[in-house]
Amino acid sequence: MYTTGFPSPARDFEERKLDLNSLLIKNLSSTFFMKAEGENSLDLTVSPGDILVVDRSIEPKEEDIIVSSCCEDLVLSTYKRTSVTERQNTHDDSIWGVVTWIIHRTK
Amino acid sequence: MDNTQDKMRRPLFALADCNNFYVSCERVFDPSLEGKPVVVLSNNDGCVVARSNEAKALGIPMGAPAFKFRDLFTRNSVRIFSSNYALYSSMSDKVMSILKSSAPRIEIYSIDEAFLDLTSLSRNRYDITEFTRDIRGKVKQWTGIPLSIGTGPTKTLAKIANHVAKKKENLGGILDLDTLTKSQQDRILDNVNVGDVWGIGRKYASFLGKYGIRTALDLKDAPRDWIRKNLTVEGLRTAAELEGLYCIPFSEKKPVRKQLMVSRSFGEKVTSFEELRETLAEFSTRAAEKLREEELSAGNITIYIRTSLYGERPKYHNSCSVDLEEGTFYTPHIIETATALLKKIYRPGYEYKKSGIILSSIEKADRRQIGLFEDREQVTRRENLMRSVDSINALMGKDFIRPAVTVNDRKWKMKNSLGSAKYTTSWDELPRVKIGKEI
Repeated sequence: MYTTGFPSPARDFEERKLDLNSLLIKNLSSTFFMKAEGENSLDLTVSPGDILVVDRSIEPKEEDIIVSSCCEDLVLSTYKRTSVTERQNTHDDSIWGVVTWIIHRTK
Repeated sequence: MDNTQDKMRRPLFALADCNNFYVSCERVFDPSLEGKPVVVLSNNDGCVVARSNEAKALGIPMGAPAFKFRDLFTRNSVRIFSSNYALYSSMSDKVMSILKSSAPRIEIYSIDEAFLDLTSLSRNRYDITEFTRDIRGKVKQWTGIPLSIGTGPTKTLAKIANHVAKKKENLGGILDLDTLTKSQQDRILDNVNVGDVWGIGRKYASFLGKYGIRTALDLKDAPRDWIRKNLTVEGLRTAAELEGLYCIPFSEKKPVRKQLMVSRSFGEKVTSFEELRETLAEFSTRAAEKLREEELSAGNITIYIRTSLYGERPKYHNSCSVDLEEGTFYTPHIIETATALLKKIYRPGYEYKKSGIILSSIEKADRRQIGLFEDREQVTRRENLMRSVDSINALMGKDFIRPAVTVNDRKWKMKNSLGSAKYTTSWDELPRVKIGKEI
């Protein structure tokens, strides 16, 4: 085996390539992808066609964007603590998960 | 961990088993199924393979042929699904990885159940009931899948505890036999049919019934000599395990595969040799992929074909088998062999309903000796070819490269008329969420 030429001066600084999974997924077992559909929302946070990263392991905080099951559908909304959940401090079963990222395509 | 201390500890096992797993997977992504009778059918929509509690309450038995229950399904608005294995196996991965990170050791027993070895948990420090309740809560919240966990000093008792935890709603899906008195435990064993005991099964149950052994308790109390004579040493182990003596080992490693079968009922009946050959080529391809995935090779190939079991049409079934000179995992070799075997048993004039391939004499591929008359270079070439095909398919999607004979999209292909979306494995089929008004 021959080695020729100079070794790259950057060789000792190589790191792993960036992987979007490591950014978007904190907890693989509890993370799901979903797709938003319907009308544009007023504040334009989420548009139809956006991919949502949803983590079920997180307890929602006030104003978090959440997915919940409502009238036989999965629905996006912002989380408002009700007096009931506040008092009992329990997990509301109708909450499906907390949206942690919104992936929006621009072209 | 101090080994001597570990040995002195009494063994403690839990069985975590997902409730109505396939139905539960469907429900996670479709809230409209909540509280409704739901069934999942086997390949080609033949038989019921999973039922929601509501469907069980309607008296739909496990394995029921769908066509016999069509009226009952309609009358009760039963929601019917074809098997969606892509979804079930990805949900299973999530559940199992949570169990793996929660318990000291786990043995994955099937797609929806795993044994947990809790022996090393100090029972002074952990309340085992609370510990398993937390695991159950975590799996439910993180994946949406409900499960039951039964705990006991042997795997057989853990199974029974699980069985009871599932049936009695007031237990909240958790039962630890260790927290009960001896007489309470006996009462539980007395309520379990001997056929439901792990390793006994229905076949032995009717035999045992004749001798008055009807429940798990009867079996536990039966004379050991009699059991050894009539149920072999396996039965003896089961009886000892019911008594709380640890006999059936816990194993984190997957058991070594003895055979590998791929078979399917056809969507429509198949009559021609050509089409039957295609079905077997497809199953050969799947079986060979599986072999390579597990780094195995097979030394024996068996195929079988059969007509429907029901109806008035003429019936025919036959199988044929061959020992190979050298073990193989080479797809073209397996397809060729299957085709040659089919030539021997194919008879025209029948409507075939099912075919299958069984690979046996399985060995670790690296342990396989290269035969005296084998072309070493050819073996390496074939190995490299298969490795390339597998890695391209892994990258580009299943069947991106496949044998020409399997290309036709013929009518025998799996009918998934009622299949749900590949919610977790396809970007095009993600679950839909409605944008609410107030967001």
